[in-house]
Parts: sequence; structure tokens; C-alpha cells
Amino acid sequence: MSIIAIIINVLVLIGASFVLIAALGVFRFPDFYTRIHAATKAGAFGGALCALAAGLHFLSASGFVQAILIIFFFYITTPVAGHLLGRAAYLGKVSLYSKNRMP
Amino acid sequence: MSLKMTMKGGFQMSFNPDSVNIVMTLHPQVALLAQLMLIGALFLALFRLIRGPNTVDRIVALDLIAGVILALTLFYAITQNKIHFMNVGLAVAVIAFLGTVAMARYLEKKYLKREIEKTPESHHTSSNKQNPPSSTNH
Repeated sequence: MSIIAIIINVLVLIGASFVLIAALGVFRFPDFYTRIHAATKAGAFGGALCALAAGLHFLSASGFVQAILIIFFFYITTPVAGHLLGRAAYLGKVSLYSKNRMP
Repeated sequence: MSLKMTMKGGFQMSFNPDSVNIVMTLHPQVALLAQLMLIGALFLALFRLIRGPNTVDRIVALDLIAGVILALTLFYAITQNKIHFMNVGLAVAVIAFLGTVAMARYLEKKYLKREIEKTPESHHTSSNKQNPPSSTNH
């Protein structure tokens, strides 16, 4: 295994674990706003790492261009969609987590 | 595997295992672990999609499922060594963004409409905006 193969392995593992952590947050968090926080940051980061790994695997110009396009369209636009969803939920008065204890 | 053109116009396929050059970038255990992680993420998001208390929870779960499918597509492109699956990932990313934005705008419009109908003050103003007096038209 060359160095770039090791880098690709590590990137795929970290990306998949970030996606798993995002899904775990969506599964486990008690509130809509905490769920959207988990899904739109960690999920987008995991997808972007997988795209970077795929771009490193196909060491060519078209592979890099497609990887950069995927990173742009996924890592830039997912927080925008999350912001719109959060605004819609705020306007619709989606309830907050009520058992929260302030220190 | 090699393709040879025959004289009759067809292709003759001959399989020679020594000439097969499989590019294995991912370690098999790493590939298995990443696959299990992504499929577990898919099931966790599916749970939230089925049992979300609100509509916005379901939309968030759908967005996350699109992200997991994008990661699985790129993973498949790496393991099968086919660059065309990256185009599929790009299409999935664009369609996920557009779908989430469309559903969020729809919910926002719906909630705003409900808000206007609930409060009597803004209801009068909105009805005045919708039906202007006829003297202004002339």
C-alpha cells in the first residue's frame, strides 16, 4: 500500500464515522433544533471527506473537478438548507426541549 | 479479460486470470467497516423518518438519508474503480439540496398563512391588501 492509499483509507473511515455520528445525533437528540445541528454539520462533513477520498482515488483532472463540485454542492448548500428548515420550524413554533435545566 | 475482434464481425471474449489487474485501494476490513457504518447510519435516519414528531424532523431525516446515499455512492465508486459514479453523487447532492429547500419553503409559507389567519389584526390588513378598494383601480 502506498501513502496515498493509506490516506484514502483514513479519509473513508473518518467520513463514514462522521456520517454515523450525524445519524446517531438525529436518532438520539431530544429536540428538533439539536437534531438539525447534528445532521447539517456532521453529515455534510462526512460526505465531503468521502468526496475528497474519491477524488484522491481517481488521480485525474475529471475526478478532481467532480470531487470539488460535490464538495461545493454538498458542503456549502447543506447548511443553507438547514438554515431554511430552522427558520420554518421557528415560524411554526416547533417546541423546544422542556426538561433542560439551566445552571 | 481481453476483447478481440473476430473475422465474422463479432467479439470474442477470453478470460485470463493473470492479466486481470484489480486495483484495490481500500483494505478489505476498512471497506467492510465503512460499509457497516454507512448502513447503520441509514437505519438510524430511517427510524427518525418513520417516527418523527413533526414534519420538520422527517425532512431533516430525509436530508441526512441523501447525505448517506451520497457517501455510499462515492464509496462504491472507490471500491468498484468506476469514475462515473461520481456523477451520480453530484446529482444526488443537487437534488437533495433542491428538495430540502422546496419543502422548507412550503412549510414556511404554510406556517405564515396559519399565523396570519390566527391573529385578527393582521387578518384585516391582509384582506385589505388582497382586496383593494375599487376606487383605486379607476
